[in-house]
Amino acid sequence: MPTVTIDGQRLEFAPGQSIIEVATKAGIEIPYYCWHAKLSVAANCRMCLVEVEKAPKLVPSCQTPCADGMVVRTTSEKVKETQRSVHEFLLLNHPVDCPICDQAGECKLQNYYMTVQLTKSPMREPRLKKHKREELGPYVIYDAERCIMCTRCVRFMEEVAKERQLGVFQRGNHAEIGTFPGQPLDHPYSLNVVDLCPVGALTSSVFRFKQRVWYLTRSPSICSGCAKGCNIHIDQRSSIVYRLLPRDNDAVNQCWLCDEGRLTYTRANDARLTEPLMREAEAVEPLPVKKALPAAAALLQSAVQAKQPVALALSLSATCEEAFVVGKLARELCGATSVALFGYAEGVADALLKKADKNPNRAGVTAVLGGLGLTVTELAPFLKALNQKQPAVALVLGHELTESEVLAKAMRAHGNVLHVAATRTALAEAARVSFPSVSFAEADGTWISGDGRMQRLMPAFAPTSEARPIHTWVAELAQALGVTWMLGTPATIRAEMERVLPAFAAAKITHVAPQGQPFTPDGA
Amino acid sequence: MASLLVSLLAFAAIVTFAMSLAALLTWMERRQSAYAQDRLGPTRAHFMTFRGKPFVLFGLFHVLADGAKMFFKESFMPKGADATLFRVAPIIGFATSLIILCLIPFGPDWVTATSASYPLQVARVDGSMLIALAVGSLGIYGTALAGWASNNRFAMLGAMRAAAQSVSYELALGLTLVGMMIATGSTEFSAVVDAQHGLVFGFLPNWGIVWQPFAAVLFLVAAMAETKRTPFDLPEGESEIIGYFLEYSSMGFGVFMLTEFIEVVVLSCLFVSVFLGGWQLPWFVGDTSSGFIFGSLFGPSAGWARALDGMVVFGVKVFLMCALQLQIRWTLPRFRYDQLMRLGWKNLLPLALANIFVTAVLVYVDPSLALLAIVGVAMVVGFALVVMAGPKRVAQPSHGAH
Amino acid sequence: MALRVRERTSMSLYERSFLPEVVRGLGVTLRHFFTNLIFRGSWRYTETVRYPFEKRTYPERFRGQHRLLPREDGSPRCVACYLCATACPAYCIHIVAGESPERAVEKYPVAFEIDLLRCIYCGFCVEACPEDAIRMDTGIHTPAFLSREDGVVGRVDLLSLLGRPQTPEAFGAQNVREGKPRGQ
Ligand code: SF4
Ligand code: FES
Repeated sequence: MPTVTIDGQRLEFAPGQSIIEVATKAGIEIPYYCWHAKLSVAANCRMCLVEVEKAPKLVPSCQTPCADGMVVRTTSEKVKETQRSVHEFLLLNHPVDCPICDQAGECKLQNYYMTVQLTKSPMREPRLKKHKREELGPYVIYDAERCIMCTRCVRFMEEVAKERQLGVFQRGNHAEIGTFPGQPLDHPYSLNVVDLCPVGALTSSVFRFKQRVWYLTRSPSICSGCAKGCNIHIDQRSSIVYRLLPRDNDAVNQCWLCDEGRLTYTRANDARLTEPLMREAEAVEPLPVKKALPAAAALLQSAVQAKQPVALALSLSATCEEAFVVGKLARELCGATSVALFGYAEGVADALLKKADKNPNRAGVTAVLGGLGLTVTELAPFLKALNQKQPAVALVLGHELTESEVLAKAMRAHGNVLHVAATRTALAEAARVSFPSVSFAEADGTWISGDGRMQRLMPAFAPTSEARPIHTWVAELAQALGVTWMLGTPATIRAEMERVLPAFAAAKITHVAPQGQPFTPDGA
Repeated sequence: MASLLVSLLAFAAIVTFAMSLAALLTWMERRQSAYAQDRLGPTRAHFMTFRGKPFVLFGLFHVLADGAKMFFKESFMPKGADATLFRVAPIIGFATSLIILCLIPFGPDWVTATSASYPLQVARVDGSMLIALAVGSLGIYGTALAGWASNNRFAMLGAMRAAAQSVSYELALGLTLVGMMIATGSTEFSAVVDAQHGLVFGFLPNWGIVWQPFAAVLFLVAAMAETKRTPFDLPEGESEIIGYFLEYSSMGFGVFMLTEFIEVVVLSCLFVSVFLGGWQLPWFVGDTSSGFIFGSLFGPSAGWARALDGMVVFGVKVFLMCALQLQIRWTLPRFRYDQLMRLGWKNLLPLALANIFVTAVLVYVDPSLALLAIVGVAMVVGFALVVMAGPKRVAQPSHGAH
Repeated sequence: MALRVRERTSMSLYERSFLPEVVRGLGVTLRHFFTNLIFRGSWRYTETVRYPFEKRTYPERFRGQHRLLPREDGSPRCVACYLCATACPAYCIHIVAGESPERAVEKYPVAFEIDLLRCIYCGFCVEACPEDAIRMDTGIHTPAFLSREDGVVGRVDLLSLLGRPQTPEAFGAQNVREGKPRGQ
C-alpha cells in the first residue's frame, strides 16, 4: 500500500483518496466547509488548505489526491496563518446575527472562529446587504448574508436529489444561492440541504426558532415514516421532540433523510394519550390506572372464562417485542388463531430512500406472529367480525392507521373493545378502555425494515405520563387474569424470543448492533 | 390599727416598686443588651407621631405591647399535664419572691410629728434574714413542679437542673451571709442596715461591702445562680432544652418571666440591705445626714422628708444593682454543667466557710470591726491591682484558622 | 486525617479565679454600652440602619428588578436569542420565540417571562445579553407577591419599567446604545 505522511504520521491510503479523507480517518482534523464525503469536490471555501512538501503553494486537501511518499503538514504556522486569513474572508460580510440564527451552537463559522481565527474583523466598509429570510420552498428559508457560497446545497440537489432546483446567481461578493423562476425548492428531500449547510444560511421553517440547539439532547433512533428504517437522531428537550436528523448508516440511508420522515417528529408530541380512558355510553372519562386495569381485566376475564372468542388487531408500527407478547396473549389466553394487522396506507416509493410501505415494522410483526404459529390477516375480517359482534371482547393495539374512522365506528358499535395507543385518536374515544402507550421516541424495541434489517429503537427519554409500552399493558392484563410471564422488560422479552423463535435467535435480537444487522424470516 | 395600715401601705409601696422595676427590667434587658452589643434594641412599638417621627419613647412601649400580648395569647396546657400543679407552679415562685420583699427595710423609720414611729418595712420579725433564706428556697418548688407537671421531657430536664442548681448554691448563699451576721451581731434586716451607719476611717461609707468584700462577691455569684439567669441559665438552656417553662404560654409564661425579673429585684434588695447600707447614704441620708432630695428642700429633720430620702436612695441603689446584674448577664456566656457544679461545691462553699472563720477571728480580735474593715479594704485594693497587672491578652488563633 | 496531639494546657490560678477576667469582660461591655448610650454619630459603635425609615443609598450598580429595553418603535430590543435563559443559574427566564415578517429583525419574543420568585438577582442575564435588551438598573427591590403567579413578570410589564437616571454613567456611557436598530 502506498503511504503518505501527515503531521508526522505515516498513513496508508487507497489510490485516489484525497488528503482530507485520509487525515480525517486517522483522526487528524483539518477544518473544512465545502467538502462533504457524499458529494463531489468543489474546493471553493479554501478552508482546508494544507502544506505539502515540495509544493510551491498550499493545496486544498479536499481536492488533492494523496501520492506515495507525500509529506503533509496541517498545523504549521503557514497553514494556521492561512486558515486565519481564509476565515477572515469568509466572515467579511457576515452579519454576525448569531442571536437570531438557528445555527448558533452548531455552526461551523462559530466553531472555526474560536479555533482558528479569534481576531477582530478587518472590515471597515459597511457590510454588504443581501436577501434575508427568503423562502426557497415550503420547508427551507435562505439567508444570503450568512451564506459562504460553499455550494454544498447546490451539489446535493444536483447529485443526490438529481433535480437542479438550486443554483448560484450573481458573481463575487454578490453571489447568492437561489431557485429558478417558477420552480421553488420543493423536492421531497429538500430539508437535507439544511443539514448540509455548514452555516445558518439555510434553516428549516419547521424547526425555526422553536428551540436553541444547545438545549436539545440527542439520542439515536429509527425513523417511523416508512419501511426503510432510516437511522435518525432524536433531538428533544424536556420530553418534547423538536426535530429528527439523519444518523449516518451507509447500509441504510447514508446520511440523508426525506422531508416526510423528518416531519414524523410530531408523532411523539401531538395529542398524546397520557392516562387511561374509559367510555361509559357516550361519555369518555380519564381513569386512574388502578381502576382502568381491573375494569379491562374483568372484561377480558369474563370472555376468557366463558371460552368466548377474543379478537386481536395489532399495529404494524409495534415493535417485535410488543408483537411477541401480544402473540402470546392471543395464543395462550385468548385462544385466537389469527391476529389482524393494520397500518398506514401504501405511499409512493422513490429511488433514493422512500418505500411504498409506510409502516416501519411490517416485516418484524409478521415474522414474530408467524413464528408463534398465528396467522395474520388484513383488517377487513376483523372489522367484519366486530360488526357482527362475533368476539365477545376485542383488543386493538396501536393507533397507527390511515382509515381509522371505519375501525372506530366498528369499535364503538361493538362496545367491548380494549385499546392501547400512544395518541388519542378516534379509536381511543371509541374503545371501552384505552391505555396510553409509548411513542417511537420513548420505545425500547426492535424494528425490522422492509429490506430485512433488524434495528434497535432506543428510548430518547422516559415517558412522563402513565404511558407504557403495549407489551407492559398486555402483560399486566395477563397478570390480572392470573398468568405471570416474567416478561417485564424488553430485554427479558428478547431473550425469550431467542428461545422460542429460531429466526430471531439466528439474527441475534438480543445483540443488535448500533447500525443494525440483517434478518431473514427463515433464519438463514 | 395604724401600724397595720402602715404595713399595708408599705406592702403596697414595695410591691409596686418591685413590679414596676421588674417591668422596666424587661425593657432594660433588651435596650441595655442592645447597646452593649452595638445594636439599637426595640424601636418599633409606637402609637403616635412626634415631630414627624414615630413616637417610640426609647422603646418603652414594648413593655406594654408585651404585656398585652401575654394576656391575649392562647393559654395552652399539654395533654397529660397535671392541671392543678401546672396552674399553681408559676404562682409559687412569684409568691415566695414577694414574701422576701416584705422583710426588706426600704427606708428609715418614719417618725411623725407626734413622735410616733412607723417602720418602712412590711414585717420586722426576728431572724428575718433566716426567714428570707428559708422562703427563698421554697421558690424552687415552683420551677420543679412546672417542669414535672408539664408532661414534657425537656421541661422535666430543665426542672431537674434547676433543682440541682438551687440546692448547690443555697448553701453558699446562706453561708456568705453568716459573716455579716457575725459582724453586725443580728439576723434581722433593719438591724443589719442600721449597723452600717456612719463612716469608716472617716471617708469610706461604713457598709458591709467594706467589711466583707469577699462575702459580697460570693453572695452575688450564689444569688445570681439562684435567679437562674445567664451565666447560670442551665435550667432554661434555650439552645438545648428550652427549659422548665417549655409548655407554658400566655400569662403562665408571663408569670415565670416576671418572676425571673422580680428575683433580680429581690436579690438587689438583699444585696443593698446587707452589703450596701440599705437606704443610707453617708453625708446625705442616715445619722450624719444633710438631706438628700426632700431633706435638702424641706430640712433633713422632718421625719417624712428623711423617710422619702431613704426610699429614693434605696430605690436608686437597687436599680443600679439590677443594671449591674443585667450587664453581667450580657457579658458572660453560660457555664457548662460540670463547671457549674464545680463552682458551687468546690469553690463557693469552701470559700464561704473560710470567710466565716476569718471574719469570726477578726471580729473576736477587734470587736470594733476596724480590723475587719482594714482587711476588707486591703482585699479590694489587692484585687484591683491584680486586675490591672493581669497578664496581657494574647491573641488566640480563632477556630478554623489552621 | 492526620492525628495531631494537642497539649492540654491547664489554666493558671489567675484564669481559674474567673473574677479578674469577669471584671475585664464587664469593662468591655460597659465601654460599648456607655459609648452607644452617650454618643451619637460616628462615635457610636452601632451601625444599624432603621430600614424602612432610613435607607442606604444604593451604589450605582445596584441590581434591582429587570427591565426590557425598547427600540424606538416601542417593541423590545430582545431578539429571543435565549442567551439570558441559558446563562440564568436559577432557570427563571422563560422565552417563546416568534417569527415576524414585518420587522427589521425576524426573531422576537412572543413571550418573555421572568419568575422573580426564582430569580437570585445575579445579573448573569444582563451580562449575557448581546443586544443590551435587558438591564437591572431600575433600582426596584423584589416586590412582595400574594400568589406565585404574581411573581412571574411578563414582557409588557418588563418593558414599562424605566432605569434610574444615572444609568448611562453606571454602565459606562460608551456601552449604551440608544434605541437605534442595529446597523444604522
Ligand atoms: S446556503 Fe449553506 S450550503 Fe448552500 S452555499 Fe450557502 S453556506 Fe453553503
Ligand atoms: S473543503 Fe476544501 S476547499 Fe472547501
